[in-house]
Amino acid sequence: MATQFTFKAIGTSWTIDIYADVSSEDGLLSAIKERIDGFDKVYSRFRADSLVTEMSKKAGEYILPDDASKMLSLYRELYEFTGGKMTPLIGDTLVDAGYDASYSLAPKAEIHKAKEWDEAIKYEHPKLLVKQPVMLDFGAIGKGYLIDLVGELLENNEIHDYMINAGGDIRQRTSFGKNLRVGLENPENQNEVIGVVQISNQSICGSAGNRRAWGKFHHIIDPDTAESPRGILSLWVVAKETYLADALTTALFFVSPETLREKYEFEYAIVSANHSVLMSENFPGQLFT
Amino acid sequence: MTKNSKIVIGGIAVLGVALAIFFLAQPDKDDHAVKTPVTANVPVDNPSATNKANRYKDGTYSATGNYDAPSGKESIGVSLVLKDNVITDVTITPTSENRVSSRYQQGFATNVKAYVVGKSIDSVNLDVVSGSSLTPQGFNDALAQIKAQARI
Repeated sequence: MATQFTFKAIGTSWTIDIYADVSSEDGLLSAIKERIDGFDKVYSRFRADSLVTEMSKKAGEYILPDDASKMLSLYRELYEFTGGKMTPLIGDTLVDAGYDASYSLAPKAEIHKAKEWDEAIKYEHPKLLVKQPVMLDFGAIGKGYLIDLVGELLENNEIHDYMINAGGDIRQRTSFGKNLRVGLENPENQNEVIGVVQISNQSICGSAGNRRAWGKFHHIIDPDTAESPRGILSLWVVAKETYLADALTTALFFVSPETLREKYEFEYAIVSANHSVLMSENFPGQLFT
Repeated sequence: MTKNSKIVIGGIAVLGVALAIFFLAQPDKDDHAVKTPVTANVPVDNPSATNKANRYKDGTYSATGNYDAPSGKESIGVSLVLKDNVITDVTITPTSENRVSSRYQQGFATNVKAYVVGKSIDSVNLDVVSGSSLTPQGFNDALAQIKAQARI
């Protein structure tokens, strides 16, 4: 391949493979990092200078950037479709559980359940009315969406053959039918894979119940029970857009794949705590059994 | 391994029906499988069958489930091991002589016990790996410190 960028951003490692000659590599890499930082500065709850941090301290009316529209729409759709289980208002619960900006990992005595969307915020693009200070968390869709935005940046620069890998969430595009062979990491052994997937012009995202785990929690918490769902060891979703694949990896901890397939087009593989596996009919890969 | 989730769903329906039988069956005290041919008429969610204590005695339960296939009446043997309210083992004994039913019963039997195993990354031809190994460094550091202090 012609160009590879590797760097750290939003707390994870990025690799971007570009299968074409790039006239100004430095210029392109700067543009990519700038795009990522710009996104992070709005939506991250881990930096003191972000809009999300400001909204967690002060009620009021905020103007969101253009890219908010697509992400907030999907959040609202999934919020309604999952009966509130998938929600950007999970931030306060995550913080109470210990997953705060300083990674204290010390659960508070009382862990608050997530507020109802309409009770806490009102979104009419570009205005977000924060009725009471609330810690929003865009982690369920944010990284996947940012990968799509970086992909768009590449495509606006006439690059149509590339792979973006940000911490294991991957978007691949090809103009000549290239297949990407993706190994599915064994959540219990990073030196192993439990399957292989082949994608072409698709995205794949994974999520595991044993990473970012502390005490009785992991990074996904049920907004109604304030507990982390058990039972799923890891799962992967293949969809065209990375933001959808990312969103569904969280939604699948709460809702069955059959239900989500009524509304969204995707393939999935879910490995349960007992190592049994459930896959969609056309999942583009095989798991080793 | 078949990945036909339609077979799994159809098979799960059969299993669900077979499971209903266990609420009526008695565990054998010597832990042998007891084959009790019982016609499955009790729905799994029948409150009178399931809610009394909400707890099942450990043991091995077996039964033969009967169902109607387009080819006629079929039966399938199911054996479960229950320990602490959890199914720890399942054995499906296909009994069909009908070719189509036999294929579905075999498919179900295969899918019920499809457990994943890991293979070394070096042994597989891959372009990239998808996983969640790349936890934020800050998180890992915090976790290491906390574990060292035994706070969790």
